Order: sequence, then C-alpha cells, then structure tokens
Amino acid sequence: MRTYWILTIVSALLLFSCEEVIELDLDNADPEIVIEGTLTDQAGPYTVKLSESVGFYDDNVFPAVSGAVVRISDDNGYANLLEEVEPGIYQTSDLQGQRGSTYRLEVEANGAFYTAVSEMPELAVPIDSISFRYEEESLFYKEGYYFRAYFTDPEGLGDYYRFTVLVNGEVYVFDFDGDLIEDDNLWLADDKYTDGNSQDYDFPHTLKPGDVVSLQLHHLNEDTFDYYRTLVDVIDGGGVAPSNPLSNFGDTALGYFGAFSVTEMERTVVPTN
Amino acid sequence: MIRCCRVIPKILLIALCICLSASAFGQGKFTIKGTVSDAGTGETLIGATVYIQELSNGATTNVYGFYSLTVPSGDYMLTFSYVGYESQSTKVTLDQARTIDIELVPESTELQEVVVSADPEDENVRSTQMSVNKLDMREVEAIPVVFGEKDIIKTIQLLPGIKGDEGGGGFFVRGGSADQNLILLDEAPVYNASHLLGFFSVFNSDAIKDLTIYKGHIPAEYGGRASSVLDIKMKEGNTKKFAAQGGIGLISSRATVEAPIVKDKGSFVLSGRRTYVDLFLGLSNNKDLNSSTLYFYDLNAKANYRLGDKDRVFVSGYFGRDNFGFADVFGFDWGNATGTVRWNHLFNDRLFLNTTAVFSDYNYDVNIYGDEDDSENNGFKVTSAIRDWSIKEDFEYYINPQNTLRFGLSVIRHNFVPGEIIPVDGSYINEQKLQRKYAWETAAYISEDIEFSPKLNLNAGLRYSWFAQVGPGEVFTYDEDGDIIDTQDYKSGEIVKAYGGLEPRLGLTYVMNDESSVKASYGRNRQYLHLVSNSNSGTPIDLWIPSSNNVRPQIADQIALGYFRNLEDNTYEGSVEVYYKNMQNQVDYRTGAELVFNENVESQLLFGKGWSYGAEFILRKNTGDLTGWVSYTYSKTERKFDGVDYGQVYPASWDRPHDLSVVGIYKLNPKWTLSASFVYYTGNAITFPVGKYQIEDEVINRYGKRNNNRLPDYNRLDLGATLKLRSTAKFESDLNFSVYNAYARKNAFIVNFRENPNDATKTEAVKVSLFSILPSVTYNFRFK
Repeated sequence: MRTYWILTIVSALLLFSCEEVIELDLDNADPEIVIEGTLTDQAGPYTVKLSESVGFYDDNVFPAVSGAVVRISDDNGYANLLEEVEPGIYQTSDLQGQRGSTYRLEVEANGAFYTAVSEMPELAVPIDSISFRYEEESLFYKEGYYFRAYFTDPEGLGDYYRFTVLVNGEVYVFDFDGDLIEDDNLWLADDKYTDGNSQDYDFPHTLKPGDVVSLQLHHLNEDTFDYYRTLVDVIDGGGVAPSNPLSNFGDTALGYFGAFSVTEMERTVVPTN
Repeated sequence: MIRCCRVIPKILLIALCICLSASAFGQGKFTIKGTVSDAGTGETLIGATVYIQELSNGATTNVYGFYSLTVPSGDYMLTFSYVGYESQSTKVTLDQARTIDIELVPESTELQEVVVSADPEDENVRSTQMSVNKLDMREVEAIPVVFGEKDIIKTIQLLPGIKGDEGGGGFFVRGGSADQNLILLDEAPVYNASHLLGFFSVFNSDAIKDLTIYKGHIPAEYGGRASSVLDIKMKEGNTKKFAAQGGIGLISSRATVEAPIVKDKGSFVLSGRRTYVDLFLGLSNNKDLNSSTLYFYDLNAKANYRLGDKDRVFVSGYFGRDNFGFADVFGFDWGNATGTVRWNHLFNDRLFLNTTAVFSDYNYDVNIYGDEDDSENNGFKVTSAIRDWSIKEDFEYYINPQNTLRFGLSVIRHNFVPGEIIPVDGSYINEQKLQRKYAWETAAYISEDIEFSPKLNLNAGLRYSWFAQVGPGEVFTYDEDGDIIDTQDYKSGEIVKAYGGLEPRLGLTYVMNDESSVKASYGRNRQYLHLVSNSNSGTPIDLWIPSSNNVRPQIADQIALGYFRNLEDNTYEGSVEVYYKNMQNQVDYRTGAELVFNENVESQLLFGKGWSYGAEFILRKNTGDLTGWVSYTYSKTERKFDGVDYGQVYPASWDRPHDLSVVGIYKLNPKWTLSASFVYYTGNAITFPVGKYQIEDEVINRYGKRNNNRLPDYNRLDLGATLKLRSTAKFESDLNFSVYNAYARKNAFIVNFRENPNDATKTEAVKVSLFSILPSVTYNFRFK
C-alpha cells in the first residue's frame, strides 16, 4: 500500500515542483559507534562491522573502529570471540548459526560496552519460483523484462521477510529519468494482510535477456523487521518526525544485530516472443 | 461522571428560572423584533446591528438574521447597519410589541431613499467577543490564490494567529494542532476539509455566505475541539427572484442557481464545482494517461421555508469527493457528506429556539483491482469512515438590551470504522476488519451577555461536556511501552470509559471611549476526538479515534488580553492581543509508529503536554477604495513528552516565531479592481540530520533531537486583478486574473538529504519547491 500512496503524492507534486541544492547550517553531533552484525543459518564466517558516524557535510568516509573485543554467544552456552580481519571488520571462526537459537552480540570498544540479542526464526521460507514478463514502455514501466518472486507464508501471523536482489552479481542501479541511483537493497514484506497464503512480490528492476537474477529471501523476527522498516523510513526521508531506526542496541549505538534464515534462487532472463 | 451529567440540566433550569423571573415583563416595556436581510437577494444578514440612538443601545442579529430588543415605551430612531451596506434608519413609536423586518441595500449599488447613518460600526471595540476574525466573502473573492481557486481555508491563514503550510490542508490556531479546529459547515462538523491532498479546501466559496473563526474565548455553545472553531454558513438562496452565477477557471468550473420557492417565504440554492484536469487526460494518446482519473467535486444544496411568523425551517447538505485512479490498477476516492436540518422557532418576542439535527460522514476507499488472470491475485478494497449523528437545542433569550441569555443541549453519536479490508475473489489478501468503535458526546451550556454599564460588558459562559466510548468491542489496555496488559469484552452500549468536565468561558470588555477598549478572556476547551496522521498537513487516510481507556481527552486553557482601537471614524480597525495557552494530554507518535491499519493504533501514541504564547497585531481597513489588512504574529509553541528525547522540551513542528501578512484590495475604477497579498514567515521547526553513517554500504542520515532545525524563511507575493465586463440589468460578468508567487520565489516545501549525484563521496541538502510563478484566469458570470 505504501508504494501506491507514494505514487499518488509524487505524481501530484511532480507536476509543479522544482529542486535546488542548498547549504544548511546543520548541527554536528559527536561521532557515535555503528555496529552492523548479522548471523544466518548459512555457513559462516559471520561478520560484524564497527564504524563511526561523521558530520553530514563531511566526506563519505566512515572511520573503522579497531581493537574492539567482539563476542557472539548462543543460548546453549557456546561463545565465539571474533577476529579483526581488517580494520573494523570482525569475523567468527567456527560458529554455525542454527534456526530457533538466540544469539547475543557483545562489543567492547573505546571503553564502552554494547550488547544486543536476536533470535533466529525456526523456519526457513523457500522461494517457490521466479517468473519473468515483458512490459512495454508506459507510465509505470520502462520497456524491458520484470520479475516476480513467489513464496508461501507459513500459517500464523508474525512472519517477516526481506528480499535482497543481485543482477549479474551486482546491486542494481535504478535509472530515474537519467538520475542513476543505487537504491537500497531492502525489499520488505510481512504477513499482516496475507497470513498463510501463497503470494508474490513484484520487483521494479528493469532487465534484459541474459541478465542473471540472484534472489535471497531472509525470514526475520519482528525486531529485525522493525529495524529495516524504520531504516527504510529514514532512507525515504524520515516523515514528519524523523528519528534513528529502532535498534536492538537501544539508543546506545547506531546499527543492528540480526539473526535470520536465508533461502536463495537464481534465474536467467530468457526472451519471450 | 454520570451523576454530574444528570445534575447539569437541573442547574440550567434553575438558572433559567432566575433569569426569567428577574426580567419579568416590567411595566411599559415592549419588544421590537425582526429580521435583517439583503434587499437584493433576501439573504439574511448575520451580525447586523440594530441601534437605538436615544438609548445608546442596541442588538445584533443572530446567525439567522434575527434580533430582539426589549426597551421602555417611547419614540425611537432605530438604525440598522451592516458592513458593506447602506445603513437605514426608521422612526418607531413603541407603544406595543413590534416586528420590524429590514432589507439593507449593498453599498456598491447606488440607490436613493436611504439615510446614511453616521453611527459607528464599532463592533470591534464594543463586543465582548475577542480573538475572533470574520471574513467577508467579497474579500475572499478578491484575494488572489493558487490557480485562481477561491479558498477560505487558505485565506484565513492570512489572519493573525492562524498558520498553515503552502501544500497542506491543515491549519494551526494559536499553537494548537490541526485536529484541534472544529470546522462546521451549517453546524455539521467537516472531518477532512481538504481536496487533492490539501491544495484546495472542500468549501466552494460560491455557496458560502459567511465565516467566523474563533481563536480564543470560544462561545459556550461550541465545543469538542481544543483550539478553534471555524463556523461556516452556507447561503440560503434568493427569496426574491431566480438568480444564477458561475465561473470557468483554469482547473475547475462552478455553477450556482438560487430561487424563491415562494417569494419572500422560502428559497433554495444549489451549487456545484468540479475540476476537469482528467477531461484533458482523456484526450491524451497515452493509454495510461487517458484511462487515469484525477478530479474532485463539491455539491452544496440548501432550502429554507418560513412557516408563518414564528417558524422557519432550513435543510442543507454538502457532498464532495476526490477521485484518483490509474486505469485498471488502482483507485482511491475520499470525501465528506453532511446534512443539516434546522428549525427556528420563536416562542415569543424574546425567546428564540433553534433545533438542529446533523449528519456528517467522512470516508475513503482504496481499491487495488488485482489481476484476475494471475494465479496470485492481490486485489482488495480498503474502506474507513467516521460517521456522526447529532441533535442540538439552542435557545436565545433576549432579556433586555443589556442582557442576552443563551443555553442549550447537544447529543452526538460517533461511529468509527477504522479500517476494513475486503479482498476481491481469489485474492491472496485476507479479509480483515478492525473493530468498529462507538461513542456518545453530550454537552449542556449556558451563557449570558451582561452589560453592567455602557462601559463594562461581560460574557459569562459555562459548558459541561460528557463523553463515553461504548461497546461492543474487545478493549485493550496498554502499558507505557505500548504492550497489551489487559483485554476486556464490552457488550453493546456498555460504557468502556467516560470523561466529563466543566468548560468555563469568560470574556470581559471595558470600553474606554467610542474608539478603544480593552478586553480579557479565559476559556477552557475539552476535546474527545483525536486525529492520528502520518503528516502534519493532513491526508485522506487520516484516522479519527475516540478518547478511550488509553487516550485521555485533550484539554486547553487559554487566557488572552487585548487592546482594540478604531481610527478615523471606524475607517480603520486595529487590535493587539496577547495569549497564553496550556494544552494537556497532547498526542504524538512513537518512533516507527505503525498508524495505518493497526488494531492497536492507540499503543503507537505518546502523550504529553504543550503550551503556546504569542502576540497578534492586525490593522484593518474595511471601507473606501482601498481595503485590506496588515497582520503580524509573534508566537512560540512547545511540547514536552516523556517519550520524546527523554522529556526534553521541543518546538511543535508548526511552531514558527514570525508571521506577517499584508492584503490589499484596491478599486481602481468601476471597471478594474486590483489586489495583492504578501506573506512572510519564519520556517517551521523540523528535524534535520546531525550526521550520517553507513549501513550495508548505504549512507544513512543520523538524527538527533526532535525539531532542532528550521526550514528556510518563506515569502511570497500574489497579485490579482478583476475586470468588470459590459453588464446589463439582467447579466453581469467579469474576468479575474491572478498571479500566484509573482516573483517566483523558490520556497522550501521539503528538504531532502541525498548523495551528491556528481560526487559519490559527498552528500547534499536539496530544497524542493512547489509552485513557481503561476498565472491563471477565471471567467465569472451572474444572471440576476
């Protein structure tokens, strides 16, 4: 529904609006640590990335946080100390993520201690299929091939999903009338309106014959979904009262620690007549 | 609570008895009553003054044009006057009760046989009412607006203390949020006053007779919203002869017909407006465009009939809708419907009763049509609505020229349909219905205008309101984190939670001399309905919710002080007002709140308090070739919520310190009228990033405290000109030209923060502006 709503507003406004770059006198908050950790039911190693925020008008260079103590433990008493493989990038050694287990990430950096907990959902939800179709140039589509993924939601409310898409191994770059924008790779879904049903997810990527689509479906817990959902809100402009995404670090750190299951499918676009 | 509610009518009754007995017909006193109306159309005039020179005393007509004056017998010169009309005087020998109906002639048409009175039109100075603004529809017509679409909601934002945004349909009065304005159309509440996402309002100015906005000291007969009342009255229709008028504009056309049902006894008016951008879309070769819809329309209808001397009946209705859709993909429509039936009854010369029955409905539908051929059909329909039925009794008792008593009762039934999803056949979307909610809202009030002396006037009002959310339904109780801690089932009609309380309203005027006065007022307002919205400016999918076990009523207390001064024989009206308003139980939202289609929407809310203070200046010129006003407001609005920035004070997002408007209408010659309006204001408070960081190689904005920045300052000049075309006795027409944003100022509508498209190592702020210079022309005509 969100998509249609945005479409409504955008089409109404674009008729008359115009854009101009302006210089603003923005507040600069002190740097804050950003912790980005994920853990899946796929083979490791799993990575935790530590960096710092910068001022809005600074260059997009985000200092790595080195020399931190990073630990992941599960609810069976198993713990793994992560190794810093390059500045700010920490990796697990022999930890194997298990569906249904709960994981705790602990980070000790620059004299402060951060911790977050995430439970990996018990189920992995397979992608049933991927279909392609050809669309002519129109108000909604650029001419080309489009794909749709099908999956079946398990019975019971409370299933949350994220797709990631790679086209020919790369993150897709969208062409908005000449503006090439590498969009975020956050394609979210939940079962609020579709619990227990077989359903589809439409992607807006414009493809050509021969393109290879690699699709992952992440089955998330509610907290992880809320993080991604509010992250998308921030990326989309933040709304009336923008604030940082809902994180399981609370407001002690930016970023998130999420454990989720992953399924994959890869398909190549074959021309139709 | 319930006990209090029963006590109130008794108090009213006792008060009434005291007043009646105190003012029992004295020896040799008689009542003059009647109606003041327009000589050309028979339309009654609201707020016209009736003045007895010999007694230095008078009355004003009520919203039905009715007045009543009880004075000792004698010979009097009565003067009837109304702004924009020639005053009329008439000699009366009062030795018995008299009915004097007067028809006033508009100033523009030159007629003889009128005695032009030198009497001051000094309502501004003398009235006990303060913090009020009225707009003459002739002013509204002359003030230039976007696309030339005359719009009262945009025009009132040029008055002090009323703020709005360029692109939004909401407005903010003295620091109150957009849902704290009671918008009444012929006494029916209008729950969403916007068309086309707020660029236009639902009020077709051709159908409107009069509007008044109360920003403070709200009269006791009004209630239900914390900040203001915008009271809009529809035209009644020409009681003399058939008349028609209309206009053809850039984006819409209008037509109105009015005629007597029986001459001088009853009349009707029918008015319609429709935009037609979509008609042009239909001509397009593009199949997506020509199968798209994008339009809105409004229909206003009203009829009134006089049943003898003592009774008059009015029936009025409004129906309007926006329609938006793309081919067979998706459709979205929303709109209001209101209906009002009113019966004026005169018990005797001095006791006037109006009985009103009101229906109001706002609803929207979203249709995703889905693909029937697809095995995975996602088609569905979402609908949501709020529906009111109400009954109101309003008495006016004209004790004597020094005393008018008003009292009454009202009962409203609110039905809420928060949202229902109905899938199309074969859709994988599940049917889901959020629980409907029900509530009763009742009130009783009494208020009296008392003139202690010609210099000291008091308006004392007391309102008691009572509200209850009732079953059936499953009601949840949430803790501070928004988690459910209790669930309870209620049967149909069973009270879930009731609230009630007194709302005192006081206004005091001390008239220093013919030209100046000071006024003071205090008022408390309770608000039992709350608007849940993703946006400040209002959207069609906004949700009204009742006060409940989780949501307490909003309460606003306001004190105001003012100095009122008329200059040069009332050619100029000026005032300065300062106010302080305290607001309890205000509503804000949790971070990441899910407001759309959520059974637990109340769990997404945060509660806190707010306050606002300010100073408002206006200097207005109502007569002469040049009319208009200059208005300036300084104000501050802050809020404090435990759930926002750990209880730190932050500015409301509609807070802005400075607001200046200048409006001028100049009658150059009989053919040309020129107009201009200029606005300047500080940017609204807004949250800008305090830094950025990286997640999954995406640069993400980092936010700090709520509303810690401001949008850039806003300013804009609009110009207008009206050319009267050749007219005959039966027909006249004019062309109205307007230029919106005449010097093409690029005001910030929103500011986006993004990666620099030319340099991926940088981020930049981008200001998005809405309308650049925008000329338009409208052709208006009138058959008389």
